[in-house]
Amino acid sequence: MLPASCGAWSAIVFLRIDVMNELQDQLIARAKALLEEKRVDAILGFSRGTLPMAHRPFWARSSEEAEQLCWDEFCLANLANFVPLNGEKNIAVIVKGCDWRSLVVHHQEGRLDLSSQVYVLGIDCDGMLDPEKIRRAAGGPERVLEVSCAVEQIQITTPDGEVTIDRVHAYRQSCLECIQRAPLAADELLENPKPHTFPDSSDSSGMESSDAGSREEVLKNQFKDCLMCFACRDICPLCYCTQCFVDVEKSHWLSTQASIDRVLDFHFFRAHHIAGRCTECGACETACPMNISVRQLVTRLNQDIKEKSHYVPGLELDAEAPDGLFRPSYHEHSRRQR
Amino acid sequence: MHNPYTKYPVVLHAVTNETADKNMKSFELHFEHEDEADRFFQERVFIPGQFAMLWLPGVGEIPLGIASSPTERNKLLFTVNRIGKVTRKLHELPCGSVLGIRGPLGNGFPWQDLQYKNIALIGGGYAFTTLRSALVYMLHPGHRKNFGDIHLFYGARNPGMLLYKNELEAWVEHDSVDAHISVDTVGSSSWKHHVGLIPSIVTQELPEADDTVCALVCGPPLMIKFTLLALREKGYSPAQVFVSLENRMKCGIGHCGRCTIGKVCVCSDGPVFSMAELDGMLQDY
Amino acid sequence: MSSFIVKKERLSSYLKRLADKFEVHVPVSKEGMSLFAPYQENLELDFGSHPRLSAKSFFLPQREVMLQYGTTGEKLQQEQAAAHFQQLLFGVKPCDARAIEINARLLADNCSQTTAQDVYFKTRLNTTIMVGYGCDQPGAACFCSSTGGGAFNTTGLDALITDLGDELLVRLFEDRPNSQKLVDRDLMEEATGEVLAAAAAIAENAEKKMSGMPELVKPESGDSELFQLELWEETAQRCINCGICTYLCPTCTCFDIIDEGSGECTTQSRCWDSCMFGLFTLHASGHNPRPGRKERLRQRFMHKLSYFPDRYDGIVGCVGCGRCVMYCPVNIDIREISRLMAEVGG
Repeated sequence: MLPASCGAWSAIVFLRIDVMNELQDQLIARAKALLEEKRVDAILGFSRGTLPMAHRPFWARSSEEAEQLCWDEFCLANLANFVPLNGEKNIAVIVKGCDWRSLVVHHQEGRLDLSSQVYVLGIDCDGMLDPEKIRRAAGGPERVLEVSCAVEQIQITTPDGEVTIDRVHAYRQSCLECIQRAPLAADELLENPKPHTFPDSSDSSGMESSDAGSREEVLKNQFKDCLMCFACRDICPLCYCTQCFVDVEKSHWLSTQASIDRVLDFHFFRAHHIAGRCTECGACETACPMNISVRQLVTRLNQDIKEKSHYVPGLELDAEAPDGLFRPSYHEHSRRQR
Repeated sequence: MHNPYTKYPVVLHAVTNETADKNMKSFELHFEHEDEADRFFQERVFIPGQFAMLWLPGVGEIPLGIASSPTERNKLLFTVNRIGKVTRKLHELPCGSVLGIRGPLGNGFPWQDLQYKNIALIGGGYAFTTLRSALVYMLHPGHRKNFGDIHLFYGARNPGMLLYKNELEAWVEHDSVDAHISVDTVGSSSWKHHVGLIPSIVTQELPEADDTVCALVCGPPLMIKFTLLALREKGYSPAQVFVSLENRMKCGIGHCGRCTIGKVCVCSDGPVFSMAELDGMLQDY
Repeated sequence: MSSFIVKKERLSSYLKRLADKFEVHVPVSKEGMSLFAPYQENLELDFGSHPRLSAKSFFLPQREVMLQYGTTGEKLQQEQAAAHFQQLLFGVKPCDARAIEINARLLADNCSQTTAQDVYFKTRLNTTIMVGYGCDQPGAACFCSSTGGGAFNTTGLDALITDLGDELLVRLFEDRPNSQKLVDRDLMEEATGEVLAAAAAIAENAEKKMSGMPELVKPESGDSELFQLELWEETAQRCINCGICTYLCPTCTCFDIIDEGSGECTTQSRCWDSCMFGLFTLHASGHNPRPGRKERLRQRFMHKLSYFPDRYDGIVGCVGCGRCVMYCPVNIDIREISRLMAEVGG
């Protein structure tokens, strides 16, 4: 179900597919120039994957490699956490608004120096699409043979022919709730002249249902399929602790006894660790193989923090974060054990 | 169908503190049921060099080299470093506690190949346990005639860190054991054995190899690496040297997937490998 | 081999009668995700989609209590967790069924020690009936025929269904003793030669659609050469070391054993583990043989494509279900890795 605010979205003049391609052309041109001028050693972005909608993080280190960079509605991962793992310092990163906000949080937390360490190649993002919504429209994940995105409609090639869905019905939930599509500060910004309309975020989770008992039941039901594969943590731009709390005493989390309680414990703990830091990029929900709305817990915490402290994470480099937020323990030179 | 995960109940009979830092203790366990002891000690079932899974109810299960010999019937000895969750708990257990044992597991030392050979036992630090089993086994009157000369090399960081101190003296005095005990550093002047690292003691004291020799090596990775070099220099061929490896294990029967080195499974294919096998292994350990 | 026809309008009656005798599980679609669920009437059955989780869960559940212990005084009582009702999986994809046979190579058949058969897996193997559903349309990420299987492969199955439109052809495999339990003469008719020919054509057509894909085979190069490839470092740059590929994989069987409880009642259980996790191989001393993403990623692919076939008659540890390809958040594709491994030296 889409939130009620979708009505507002249908009124938007949507980015045209050729505009998207134009953006990609621009991006490649800029990437090549930056590499040729030796402004940077590498560009971190996306390249096309082996399936539709499955783009992969990609490092272009030469002008030829820059040809492989891509940009469209399926650049889904948040690249912030991929930046320092490479060890290269002189790197340009292609960022959407949410990726940039995560980098701002990294900067505030001292993980990297955003102003000197990273060349921000910003993109004014028009919102990413949700592969699961498209798979659903196609009648199953394996039926999506090809996806092409037109102005208002998404066309899916299936074994039995074409299926189309409206673009508004294909947006990723986190993108529908986006508050900052483009980086507020960038070394350069690839712009899209288009109207921005931000729908209000809405709670579709049942988190707001009145009593604690039924809320617990709702959450248990929503998280019951969790496999504890930890993909939500591993893709999260903010989960960069050298040792995650889960890995201190792992058997506790994998218990056979009351396993749903442990599952909820894990997600609650993690939500608290990223509360006030999470920019709600939606990478966790996109990565989840079981379609769980893992983001909803931190969304709720972020709302509280916004109400009480008037603080929204990742918008200003020198903003003072409220007291009591979790700070990851991170040692740059030790490899993550997990 | 036999369930490889069921345990033999055993009772903690005695605990001996082995080292000065009190981090190494030996645990003597007795079987609760005679028929299960019979099964464990059946001939050609338990041989020195094997390991067992020691289980603490509600805490966990860990692989441990068996330090006692099959000739010490009905008793099992494990010498354990206090390092992880299970071993910490084990070190606190009172005598009389009921524990569980699964085993014996793994291949053990290749006793068929070792028969009538001159044997060098070379151990370092905490890993001397299965070599104790091998030594006691070979010195047993029923087996002694099956082996030639026995050379014993055993090293620890300092005299306080040597295991089985009571027995060490006896082995040093033993007529048919050529024993070389060594420490990296000496605290007092009363030390009357070697000072130095095991690989160099081996270089100094071990006779050159001929086709009658075999060496069994247990120890920390670095010590193994340099001991193997020393043995090669002595003329030991890859088929004459056997090394016991350690890796994290859970099942002990080749199923859980974590102790593998390339296509080799340490628990079910090993833990004892010839130097030839080791040479063919991927450097993934 | 005996073959029967079940008319689609009789399918629910047939399933209902099977459910009286067995614990029947069927693939059910919910919000676009198909999963096996216990059979009930009026479920939205989805035989077309790949269930998100493979049939492995029914043989090696994600969490399972193995042994229960009680200590009274100084005595230790151990009880093996009870065997369950006979399971019937109706609508298994042939790739998933073939995976169970591959898992059995490790857990139940070809053990180096006769004592080391996994009694839990083996019991389920003996008591579970699997009815396959042939794939007339390979999915976007499917490559079963590249791994030695096929859209109508019968390995591991007691019966295989071919969808003929208004009716289903159920072929029973007589070498599987459980297959006879599927016969229900009130609701089934013997299949005619004509029907069998039509079904064979469907299968042949499906196989044709998958032909031409590169084979996934053990690379010719030796392990030590493959081990050194730069591919691992390059791919590890984007691998996030999550457990998706291993948990969704029908042939990944690594597990952890955990002890829980205290005092007089404790249990020993096991749960899925993953070679992607750092703790998997971490020694108590702090040493880790596979300390980083590169080593762990390499382990997964080397295991599937080289170590496993080395030990088990050349069979690769992959059935081409495509789950890891479809759901990897950073598009690490075993077909691509396999190609790059095969290209070495060639």
